[in-house]
Amino acid sequence: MARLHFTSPVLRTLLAVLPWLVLSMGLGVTWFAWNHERQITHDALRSQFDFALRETVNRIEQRVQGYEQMLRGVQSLFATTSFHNRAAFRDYVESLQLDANFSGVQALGLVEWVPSQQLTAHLASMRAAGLRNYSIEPAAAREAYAPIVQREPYVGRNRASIGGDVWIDPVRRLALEKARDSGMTAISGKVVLMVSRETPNAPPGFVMYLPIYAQGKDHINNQQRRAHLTGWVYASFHVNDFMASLYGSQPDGLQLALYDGTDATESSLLYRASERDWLGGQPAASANEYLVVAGHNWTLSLSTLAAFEDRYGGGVRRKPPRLESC
Amino acid sequence: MTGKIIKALTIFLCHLGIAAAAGPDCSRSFTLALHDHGLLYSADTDSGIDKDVAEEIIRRSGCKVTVTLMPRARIWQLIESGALDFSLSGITNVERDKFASFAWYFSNRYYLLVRRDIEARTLADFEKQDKFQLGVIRGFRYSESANRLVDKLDASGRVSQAGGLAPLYQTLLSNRIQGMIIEPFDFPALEEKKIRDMSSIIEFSDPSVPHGLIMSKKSLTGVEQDKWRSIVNSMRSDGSMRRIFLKYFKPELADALVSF
Repeated sequence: MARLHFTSPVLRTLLAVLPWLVLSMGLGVTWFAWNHERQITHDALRSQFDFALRETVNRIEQRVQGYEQMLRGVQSLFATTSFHNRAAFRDYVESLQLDANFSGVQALGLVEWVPSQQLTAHLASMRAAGLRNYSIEPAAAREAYAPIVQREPYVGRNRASIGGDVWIDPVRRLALEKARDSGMTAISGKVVLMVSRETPNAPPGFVMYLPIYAQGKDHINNQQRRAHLTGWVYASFHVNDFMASLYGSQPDGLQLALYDGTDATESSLLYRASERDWLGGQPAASANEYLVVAGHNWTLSLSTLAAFEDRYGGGVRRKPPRLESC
Repeated sequence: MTGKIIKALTIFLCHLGIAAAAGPDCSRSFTLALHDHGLLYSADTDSGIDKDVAEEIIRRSGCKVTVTLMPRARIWQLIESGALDFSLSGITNVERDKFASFAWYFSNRYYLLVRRDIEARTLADFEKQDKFQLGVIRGFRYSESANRLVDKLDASGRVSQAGGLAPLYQTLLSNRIQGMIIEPFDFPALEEKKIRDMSSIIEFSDPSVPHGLIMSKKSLTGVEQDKWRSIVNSMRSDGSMRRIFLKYFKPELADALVSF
């Protein structure tokens, strides 16, 4: 039987290496287990984050759809009565009971389509309706006008003067044209609402338009829609109020921002949740989602804060902040 | 004599029953949703292949169908819940088969549209660069290898979701995403010079994927699904489906899409 010779150089080397080998294996197993655990917690965090993103998108889209339905109601009203029936529109909006459920809406209103050849008749009709000081602003002659002719509910800042021509604003005009040609609701880009024009640092807003066509006239194709356009019903929103009116609640620990269009820049910022991240650094998860709401693009930017990472990610730590050159 | 009258009446009523059974049951109104997607449907012009197909199906059915526009992800949710009866140009997978039934009317392949400046010539080139983001439409599924690519990149946070095609083109142009998956319906957008000049196409090697009328299993019985399916089949067999596609595509491509 072979005997072990402790003096053998091979054995001596083996004995010397053995503790390191055991240590390495131990460290390897520990690292593997740690890495596996880290991956699981990262996946869990990512899954919660994706769910929160999807839910936020759904809440925004469904709220927009709710407001679209509200405008459809007004459109239906004008299928049964004249576009110039001011009392009917006022009573209709009053009956909507725009309570806390609709707190996102600043105003519901009507914009009339006035080709230049109808301007005189339009002014006469508005004055005959009791609006003796009514005029279209700005007054310069144009091919066509799209003045706001009624704004409800007639309270607070909605009492601001009517007659402002929204056709001259390229941002609003794009949405007006889209709504007219498609027959569907269209949302404008970022604007300062007419009722907030005099307010310093007015909050960002947007306007949703739905076309009204002449009663009894076809509006099946683009040509007919343009020919038989009477005006638009609109709902205007301050984005802060709109976001506050969303159903459900946002999970804690998420930074949310909403931008107009597909570029997430300060100039296109519509809304940012006020939470602040005191830890700094890069979020463990972040994503941009590009929404198409009533024919318009918004970018929703969502990222995790420390509270979210601690709750759902346990061991997932923030990435260190990027080193910026001095 | 009375026996003969009863017999004649019975035959007449049987024929009435057969006639009624031939078409869908129109005793209630139905809902159909379109989604804004290239040539399939454009909300800006209120026109497209899906709108034409919907109008023809509705005309042949004789039923009242309310047509609305909504995001694709929402459509699938409502089809699953049974709140929506129909949509168009849907593809199937194991999950969808559980709650939806289909009537196929065209088949197409998928392509990866990438920015030319990233110099990706194969799917692997795109996949191995961690900095490349892929843009997809929420709720969309594609062919087998396209789905595999989407799922793999999604797991590593490299997928940006969008509610439609328009923002994807814009983000591709502004280099926020470097690739997006497209279908033949999206080809007209590629004719725009600014997109054509900066992009190239990588083909997925998968076979064509059939697309069809989506029917909610929750809101329509199997018998009713068959009746609606036979309407679609009749449109294919009498050439009216091909005629719709010819309005939007050159004959070779239209034939390739509807002949499968």
